[in-house]
Amino acid sequence: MGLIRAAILAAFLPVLGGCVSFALEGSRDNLPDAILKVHKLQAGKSTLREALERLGPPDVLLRVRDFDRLYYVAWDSLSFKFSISAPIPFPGRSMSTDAFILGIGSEEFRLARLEFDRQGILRYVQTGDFVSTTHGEYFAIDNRIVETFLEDRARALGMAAQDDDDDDLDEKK
Amino acid sequence: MRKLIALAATVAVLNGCYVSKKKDDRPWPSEIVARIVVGKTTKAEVLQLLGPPKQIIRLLESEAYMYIAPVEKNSGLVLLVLNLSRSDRQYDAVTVIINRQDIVTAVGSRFTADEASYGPPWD
Repeated sequence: MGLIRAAILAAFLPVLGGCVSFALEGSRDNLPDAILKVHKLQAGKSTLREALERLGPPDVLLRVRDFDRLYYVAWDSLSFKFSISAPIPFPGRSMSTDAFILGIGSEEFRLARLEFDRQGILRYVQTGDFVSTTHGEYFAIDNRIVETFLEDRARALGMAAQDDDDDDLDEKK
Repeated sequence: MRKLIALAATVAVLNGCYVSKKKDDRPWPSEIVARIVVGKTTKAEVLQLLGPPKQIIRLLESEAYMYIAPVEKNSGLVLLVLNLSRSDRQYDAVTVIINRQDIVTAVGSRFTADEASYGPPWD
């Protein structure tokens, strides 16, 4: 009897392959080496040159008001998902719906923000870790730094196109 | 016979496995970057050594030339209803700060693209 059940299950597995899935996904972006060295810099004393020599190139760099702002970022995650996908018959179109029945994972997002004044002196340093674990524990040390980073990254990505226009406006003033 | 079964099982399992590598731009040898001297090297020389940057950021008193070459390695195993996958992205990057007199005032480099690796998701 057990053998028959196993055979039936084995026969169904390939059929279910397209609509039921268990996924274990790991992802890593950048190493946190630079972030771990930030403590070697000293606000009011360290220079932009020293920061680049010690930490290497930043991941995001932009000008914000009276400061040059640098970000160093590292991200590491592991997640498990159990999902069901069902096709929806629709005349002339192919549609499907996905349901995540279970999603757990751990994530570690680290970043450091450094701000330099016009003379290239470090004026402000902030580091932050966002960690979530598979045990349902969450640590967020000042989540504002993450929000600011996301805004700054979006600005930095569009900066090349905007910069010339901004300067034109400055000249007119 | 056992060997044949083992081989068939291995082929069946590996049927849904993949590895891929994405590489952007060309990497710059560290020797080339070492030739950039703060307070001496000019913008023209930087362009000659490293070529056009991926991004130019205008800063308060200077310009930052950003050179970035990421390497992304993806690997995965698809076993009917179980999918295992992993992606790892690391970078070779150089940032050169150039002042208004077109002289390099700071330079930072990182060569970690080679540390991108294939492996299981939990690695």
